[in-house]
Amino acid sequence: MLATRIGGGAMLLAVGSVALAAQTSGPAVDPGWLRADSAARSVAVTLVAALTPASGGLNFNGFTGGALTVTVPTGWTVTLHFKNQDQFLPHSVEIVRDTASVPLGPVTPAFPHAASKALDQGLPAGSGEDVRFVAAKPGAYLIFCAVPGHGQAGMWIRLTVSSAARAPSLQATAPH
Amino acid sequence: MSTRTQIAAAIAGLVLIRTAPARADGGGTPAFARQTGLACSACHTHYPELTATGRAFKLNGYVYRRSDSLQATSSGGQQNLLLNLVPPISIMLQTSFTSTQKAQPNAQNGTILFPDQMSLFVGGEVTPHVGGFLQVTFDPQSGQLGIDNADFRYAGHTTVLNKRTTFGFSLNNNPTVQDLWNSTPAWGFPYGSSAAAPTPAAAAMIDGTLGQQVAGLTAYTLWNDRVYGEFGFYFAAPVGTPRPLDATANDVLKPGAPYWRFALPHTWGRHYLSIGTYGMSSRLYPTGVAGPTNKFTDIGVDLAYLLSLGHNSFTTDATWIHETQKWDAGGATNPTNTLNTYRFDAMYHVGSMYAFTLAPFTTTGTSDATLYAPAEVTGSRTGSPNSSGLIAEVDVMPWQNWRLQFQYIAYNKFNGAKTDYDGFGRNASNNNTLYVLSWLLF
Repeated sequence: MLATRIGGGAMLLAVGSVALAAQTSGPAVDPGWLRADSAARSVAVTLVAALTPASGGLNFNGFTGGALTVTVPTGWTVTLHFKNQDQFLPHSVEIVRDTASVPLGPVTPAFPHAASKALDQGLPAGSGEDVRFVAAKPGAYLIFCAVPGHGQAGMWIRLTVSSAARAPSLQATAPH
Repeated sequence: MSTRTQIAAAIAGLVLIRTAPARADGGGTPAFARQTGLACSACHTHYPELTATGRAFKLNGYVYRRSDSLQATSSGGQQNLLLNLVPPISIMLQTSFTSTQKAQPNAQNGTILFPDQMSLFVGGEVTPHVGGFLQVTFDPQSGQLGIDNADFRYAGHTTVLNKRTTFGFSLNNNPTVQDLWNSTPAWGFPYGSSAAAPTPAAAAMIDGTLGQQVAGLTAYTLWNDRVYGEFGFYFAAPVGTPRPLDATANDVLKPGAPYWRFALPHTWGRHYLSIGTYGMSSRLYPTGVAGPTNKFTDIGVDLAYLLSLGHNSFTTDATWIHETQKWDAGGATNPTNTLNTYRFDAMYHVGSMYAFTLAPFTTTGTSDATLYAPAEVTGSRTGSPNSSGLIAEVDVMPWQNWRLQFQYIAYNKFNGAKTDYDGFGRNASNNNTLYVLSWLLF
């Protein structure tokens, strides 16, 4: 169950859920990565590039190739607390539509402001940035690293914007 | 053989043997792609031009790896072996066609070179902090196989003033081959150029002349991704010359030639800009390893810029090199000369498939009747090093590891004049060159 802070106070309600990965060797989902505020219709997601050595660090929170899905209700404000923990490579984050192929590099984001500032060059190791946008339209999207080549190498997870969802959730899913 | 080497050889009446061309070829290799598990386009816009990932890979010592490796540890639990299970080898094969507007005297026009150049690259991670690459090149014109560019480095990380700092050391054989930007000579535009067409006589010492003739050890650091500094020294290490170097050697670099580099990279929005300076002060013994030397001081200023346009991008590189020459050991008419080199390229990349480039260039300097003497095709009637022109190039990459390059060089001035530049009736425009290159990497 997910603890959700309402109105900045201390009251905690369970409005989200975390479905852990099937009990396999895959990475575990940390419930603390997602904090939802149902009153404000906002959700904050901790997104760490190269959290683990998986795929040479080309991962978000240890997940690659769509193996993690963030689901948010339509119209909610999403804040990605993005941090690059990679020892070697720069990384960025962008929300794009789920199309047949992962883009090589930066494209027009799916929602206004749904991208970190230095998409092409990425943020250097140890730095971070908050990316805030409104998930205005339901559909299937990708959260991908727009530094050229990184997304195509598997550095992407999924974002589902759903009119049916009543609360945000974080779920390990089958990789692409 | 570089133009300065040719000049020096003419002065001394001797030939300085080089086993590899000084052109800026290679750079990215499939060996690195196999090690990193990343496509060529992750590290290069159009190779060898580096992206952010490419610069980071090089800065960190070529050690980033996603491929499997064989590792071993000592009885104390300390790792003492790391071998890439994929052989760190790749091959570059270039085939070309060259045609000048007017054939060189008594020579065939329309030169086919197969191979134009063939290189074997060995490179990648050696230990978790040490990596590098070595390029061995076959030059069909000399018929020789020899050492080309090499760069081995150690890299680590620390924190300075609460900011991440990368530091390292580079052992290399060509000043600027270790550089992270394509605005300095070793990896600068044009990335492929004809070895069969005439080229202007003058080139600064740091502009490829010392390649494969020296060994340098430099220390570098990048602080907070904002400030890059490098300093080191170069020593004579000519390929193809008997050792130890003695009175029979030519153009030997006096030990301890200082090299410096300073750059300020910055990213904002879709823009990336790096401005910097680099240079070297070198003294050369015309003959032997003692006695008077000729001194060459090169000071360069450079700029590298990238504008990301979604699928496409625009890049530009520019450099100016000012060289002061002091001919204390003789070999020139004037005791002191200067040479200025300006190069600029603007490249528009359409995805990873096409690139369109315009690149004006200018060389100016002091006239010197000895350095730039009249000679058919290669010399100067006026004794001037001044040359200028424009390179237009279209690159097509049907596959990321196969480039077709269509290059045209138009000269406005060649070795000091527009018409009859060599004193034998040849005009600058006669050297306008069409160069078609197939560039395979596998």
